[in-house]
Amino acid sequence: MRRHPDRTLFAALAAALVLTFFRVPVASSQGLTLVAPYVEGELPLDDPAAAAWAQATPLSVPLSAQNVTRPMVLEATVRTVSARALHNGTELAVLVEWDDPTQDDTAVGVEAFRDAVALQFPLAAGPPFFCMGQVGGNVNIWHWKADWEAERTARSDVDSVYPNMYVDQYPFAAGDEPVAVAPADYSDPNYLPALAVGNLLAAAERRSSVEDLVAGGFGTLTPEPPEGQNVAGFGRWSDGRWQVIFTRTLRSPEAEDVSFAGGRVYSVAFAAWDGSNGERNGQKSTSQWVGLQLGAVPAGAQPEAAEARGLFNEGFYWVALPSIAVILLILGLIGVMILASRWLEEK
Amino acid sequence: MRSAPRLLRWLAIAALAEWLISRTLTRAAIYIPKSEAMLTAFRGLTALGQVAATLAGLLALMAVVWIATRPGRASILSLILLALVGLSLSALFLPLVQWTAVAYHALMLAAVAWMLAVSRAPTWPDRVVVLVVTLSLAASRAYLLIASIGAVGVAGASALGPAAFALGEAMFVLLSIVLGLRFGRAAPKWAWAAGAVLTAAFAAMRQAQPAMTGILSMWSAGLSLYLPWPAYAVGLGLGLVGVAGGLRSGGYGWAMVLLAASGFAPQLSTQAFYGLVALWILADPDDGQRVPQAVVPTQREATAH
Repeated sequence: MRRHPDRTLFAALAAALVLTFFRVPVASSQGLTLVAPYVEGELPLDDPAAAAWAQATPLSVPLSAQNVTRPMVLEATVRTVSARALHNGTELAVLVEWDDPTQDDTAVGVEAFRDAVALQFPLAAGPPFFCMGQVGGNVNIWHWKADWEAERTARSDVDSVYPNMYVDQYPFAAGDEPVAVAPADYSDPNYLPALAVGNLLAAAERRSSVEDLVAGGFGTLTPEPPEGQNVAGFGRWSDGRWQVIFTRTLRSPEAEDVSFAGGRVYSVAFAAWDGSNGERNGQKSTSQWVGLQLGAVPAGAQPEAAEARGLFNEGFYWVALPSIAVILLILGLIGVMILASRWLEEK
Repeated sequence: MRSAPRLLRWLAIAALAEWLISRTLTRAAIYIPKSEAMLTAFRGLTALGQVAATLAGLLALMAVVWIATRPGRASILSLILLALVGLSLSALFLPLVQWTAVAYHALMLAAVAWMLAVSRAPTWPDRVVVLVVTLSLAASRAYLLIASIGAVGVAGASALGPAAFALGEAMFVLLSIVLGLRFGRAAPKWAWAAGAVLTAAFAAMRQAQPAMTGILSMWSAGLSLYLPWPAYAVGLGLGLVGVAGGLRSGGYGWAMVLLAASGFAPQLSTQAFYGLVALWILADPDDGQRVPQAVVPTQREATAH
């Protein structure tokens, strides 16, 4: 009995080589997608109750305790966050909400840990590992911290937690004894080395409640330099629920920042910390990668957005038409294979 | 009918290559410091994995369409399968969001349930295998369906989603054990020895490097390792025994290769289709039992060459 050569299958192999060479995918993601519709006008940067948010459909993102690497938390309390996103062709705003019965907005005490939430975006094509990225697959992280939010209005220090503390002397500082002094009280910032080298944790004042970071695997988390901190944040705790808004321009000049364009799809992952559960650093709840689709910007809406108008811009013809050809090729191959199969069966 | 079984065999081989190269070896190698020569080899391996992934994607689409157009196929299942192929292709353009995502995951769940409903597995052990495979696939699809329903605002966050995810992972581990027990008698001795080595290797790695073990498990098979680690270690060894025994018992082994390559919580449509094709091989009333025998060249075919 002579076996028929697998012509169709060899054709599939040839097609696979061509598709791989031109980087055309044949598989689609099975995950969730957060849609950020285009809206005209200003984004609600500090109002989670603004009517504009009604234009964005909330996406419930399931989280689970980080149990990949130590330190890990066995039982995380934040099981899900609700996310919405909007963009106006210039800026992107993401509203994240989650239930938390306790407001932990200080990390000054030894056993005090803050509530926090973070967004993570891959910087390379193809999402890297969802926990902090990987070597060769850096991620840009926007980390909102409840204590930083609180410190935008009132600085919290050791004396906030221990009001009866007494300090004999703070050399080179002009603050009023006997309590702790603020960084601004130092006559020479070189005596506050962390502040002098631009360590954001030691900053005298908070310009934003969000820290802009980059990572490429466990243990590589690095803040971007102070001049590269360009993510704005707003957080509010009310009736056992946090509402946090992240805002940034769609495009960023920073090399380690993710940049966005209307009509495109990106990946985003979420993480949340419950301070009263002792969660900090790697002890957190994390999500898998979720799709983030930015709505197309109407033609002529804004000059800076015109080149990324979404589906029917010039890019459409370079991306979609080959894809249509690929789909037709796939369907053609399937048809040929089925016909060949039937023909062989009949023979 | 020989052409189609060969398609499934190619699919299983491509899926195995994609799984082991793209989702396991190259990802594990990310953390290994590399010399220039190693880097070149790594890039070559990555390219090979990409070709295998694309080939597996094409063959998976072909296999699902082929199953849907089999003579005598229930028309509803055919429609479901063709709709799934259409949606996954359209998702290359426009991501599945809102109601299209709900429809996709509901269709995937319906396909799994339908295959169970029409299953004519001949013996009770085979029916148990089909049931556990169905539960594992259905739970992972239910997780995504619940999440997508939550995304359209019909229902809020539900505890059912994480519960479905946890159930699915437990069923996936149980499936490995069930397959090992079901086909263990047919497995050669070397498969038992290799299974024992795999179990010991997993246990040793878990003890020495728990974080790396977790990373590789999640990347390779989508398992979060929330169950006690001995369950995964035993499941890994018995799974290998099951595949080896399944290959000697007809074409069941190819279905198991596809199930392993699909992993738990597939991230891509291709991997989800592996699971559907595997379930079809195990459960189909007409073709499921004949196809496996045709997948592996019979003695007569072998001597004819």
